[in-house]
Amino acid sequence: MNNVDQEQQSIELLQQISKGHQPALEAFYQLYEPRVYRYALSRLNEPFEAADTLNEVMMEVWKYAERFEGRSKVSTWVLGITHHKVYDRLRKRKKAKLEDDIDDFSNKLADDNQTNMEQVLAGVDDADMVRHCMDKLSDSHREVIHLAFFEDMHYQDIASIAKCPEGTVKTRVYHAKQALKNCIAKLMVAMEPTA
Amino acid sequence: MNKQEINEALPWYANDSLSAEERAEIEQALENNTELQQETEFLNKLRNTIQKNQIQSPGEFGLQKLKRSIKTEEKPTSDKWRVFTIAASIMLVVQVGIMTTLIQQEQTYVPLSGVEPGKNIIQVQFNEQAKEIDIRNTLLQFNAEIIEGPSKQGIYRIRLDQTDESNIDIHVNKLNNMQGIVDFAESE
Repeated sequence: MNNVDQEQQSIELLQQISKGHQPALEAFYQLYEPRVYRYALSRLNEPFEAADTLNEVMMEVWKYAERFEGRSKVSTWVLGITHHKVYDRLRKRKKAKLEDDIDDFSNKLADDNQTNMEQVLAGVDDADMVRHCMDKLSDSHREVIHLAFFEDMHYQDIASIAKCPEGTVKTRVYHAKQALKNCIAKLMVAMEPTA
Repeated sequence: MNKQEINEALPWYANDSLSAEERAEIEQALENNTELQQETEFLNKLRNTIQKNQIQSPGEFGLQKLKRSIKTEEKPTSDKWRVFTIAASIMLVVQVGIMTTLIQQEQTYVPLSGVEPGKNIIQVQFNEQAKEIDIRNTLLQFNAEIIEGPSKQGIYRIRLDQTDESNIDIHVNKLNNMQGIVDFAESE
């Protein structure tokens, strides 16, 4: 199924869901479950919480499907709901102070310009290394990297989901990729055999 | 686009979300610029690694959880049901008043069922597709009778005869496991 067909199918499913047709919700779940879960997991870093968030998002779709007005793509709308649910959870964790600390760390990592591009290009193929470095990013940096490189979203859509200006998305991606490069380079150096 | 704009646009070039015009501009800038080429290679590799990362999502388990959540949401907690409950409570109070008067008048009165109101009573919503024979067999299997319903939400009150009250939850579980016949059951 191409993207246009999937979008059309999603809109039709939302129309049926708004009339209380439960099989339509089940079909909608099958279409969006992996994406919603992965997005929630990329930010929460906790599988059970991500699964609960998935459930909350789908319940929101079940109850308020008629609120989809077609002004964005269905995926942008549903990931926007996920963004809010994740944000609520992060706030409940009372990690505001901790997030600031991580933001500082993430930015510090981004500011370090001592990267060896050859090492970075060798390390970026390593999934474990990339995952480790993603975990070091702040939530806002992890979010944009996930939406840009897993969801392949345009910055306008990301801005719509993250509720921030497009310029902010570009700046966050810039800093996040710098931080990733520096983290990978540092790990590569650490893995070099000592003489 | 100036150099900084080109640099900022590279992630969107890597994820193929730019317009054809923007792509052409980037490709022109990439020619003979090793730094930009390396940056693009990094972004392409990063995207590949992130996309290859296998993560097991909840799948069918999550769908079952969603169905349970919907069922819980639809339990009789709506205002209409509250109004019904209040009306039923008032009726009960009136009935108890009448019965008390009768008992006072006639000391030998004993309730026919021998079961106090609310005891051994389960609220059940049958599946829309369930056949009459399935419902009848279910009632016979549990030695139950319909004492009220259906409500506007399709909920029946059934009373289980000769059941030890401590076993009521076991019967509720059995009813809830009767897929295709019972949508939900809950003791009062």
